[in-house]
Amino acid sequence: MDMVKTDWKMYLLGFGLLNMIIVSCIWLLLHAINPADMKLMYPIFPSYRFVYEWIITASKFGTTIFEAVLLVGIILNEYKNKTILILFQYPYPRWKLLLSKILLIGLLAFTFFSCTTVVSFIGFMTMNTFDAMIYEPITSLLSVHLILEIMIQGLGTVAIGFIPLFFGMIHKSVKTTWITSTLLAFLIHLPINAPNERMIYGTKPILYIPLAIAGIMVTVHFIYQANNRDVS
Amino acid sequence: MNLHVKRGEIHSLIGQNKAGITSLLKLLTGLWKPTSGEIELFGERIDKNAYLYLEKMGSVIESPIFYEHRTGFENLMIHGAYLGIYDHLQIIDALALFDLQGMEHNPVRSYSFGLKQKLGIIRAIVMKPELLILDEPMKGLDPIEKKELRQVIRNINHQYGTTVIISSHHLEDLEQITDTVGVIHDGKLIKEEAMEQIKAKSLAYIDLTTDDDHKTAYLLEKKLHIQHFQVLHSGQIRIFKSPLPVHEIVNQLVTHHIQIHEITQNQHPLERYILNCNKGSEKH
Repeated sequence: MDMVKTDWKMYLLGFGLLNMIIVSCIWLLLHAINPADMKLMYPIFPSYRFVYEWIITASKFGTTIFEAVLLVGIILNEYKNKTILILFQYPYPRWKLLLSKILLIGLLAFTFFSCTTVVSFIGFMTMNTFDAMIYEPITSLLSVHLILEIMIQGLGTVAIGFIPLFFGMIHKSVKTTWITSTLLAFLIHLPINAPNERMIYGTKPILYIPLAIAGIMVTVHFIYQANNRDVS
Repeated sequence: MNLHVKRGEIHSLIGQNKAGITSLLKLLTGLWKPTSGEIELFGERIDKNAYLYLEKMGSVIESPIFYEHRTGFENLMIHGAYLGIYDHLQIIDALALFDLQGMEHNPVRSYSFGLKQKLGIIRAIVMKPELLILDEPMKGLDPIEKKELRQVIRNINHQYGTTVIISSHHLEDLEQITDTVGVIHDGKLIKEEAMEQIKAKSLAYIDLTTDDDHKTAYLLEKKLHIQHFQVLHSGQIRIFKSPLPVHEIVNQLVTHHIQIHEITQNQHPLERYILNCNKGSEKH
């Protein structure tokens, strides 16, 4: 894994900032906007479900961007700087080398997603103890059902985050990877539903599942192509 | 193409640009996959998915490539880690072979091309491979560094019995270290010969073009006592195995009022050998 200490510092800084932004945004929404107006738009306001939906949306958005950083650092740059030529001269099958990179990116992105969700939630809860806005009991939200939901959402987001790899690898372009990932983050993960629907944020399974499958197909295609093609 | 590389020898591959040497080396190192035909190396057939043979091999193909933001030492550590070696001593030993001018703990991006080339060669030999493949290793090196490199290649070859396949356009450097020469033209091996044979076949000579070949011949034979010479055509005389240095011959000719139009000294048997090979292949 080609990551130096400064890279890690950058990622941790990004992670910290994202969490702060998420918690601050929710705090502002709860405090600055008239509750009656908010209730018209979001019937579940104010509740932990509302907060959770906001956090998960921001986590998905942040994870897609973070995954693009990883794709560029761990895969694209290897091709762009031609260090992949050195890697492919080691006595390992190419597919194993590339699969390990993909798994590493997936693991790091999933950890980023889970940590962002959990830390932001804990951050909000801590702030809520000092200045209470939501009074409902928290026990149900910490149920296995919610953890499972976070895991499924996380895996789906990570899988979708691999789609930019397909476009980036066409011309081994870092720029294309960034643009695709930003577009994906804006189009897929930001609010797209009309008001007064229960699921305000995130995407519907009808779009989410095929996109996650597409992400997996992209990684399979990438490994297959790299395994069989000449590198120069 | 059937290369006959004996275990423990230094085998040079020489050819014009785009002759196909780098392509051949990329096929050997597994960077390129053969579209047809097959490769046999170490007595084993190398198919599209073979990779274990790579652990017996070290190589520098085209330009040396590194993680530029890392130091030279870190790059070598990464290399060792991929090959399951975490012993710093092995890396320090390899670094001692080549003088990196104390730059091993600086980021590679601050290195000159010659220094990168050296680091690339250190990385290739750090694991003491059975086969070392070097593509244009002399490129970007100054005369002192080239001399150092020749010495390193010889040492590796003698101490560890490493077989070396080397491709270069620096014929005068190859001449000093190679055991066998393979000439590649247009993707085909057109000749393969031992360096000793090439040297034996090639006689060093001096070509003289003067205004009076009769007078020159007389002077060479009677005054300078040079027996082995040949009058090629009017004004051009080829002197073989001259007992006198060139400047002495020139002095004598000038003293006897013979005008010298041209003087050429042939000292590089490998260069002439390659030129002859290429002439031959172009005729075909």
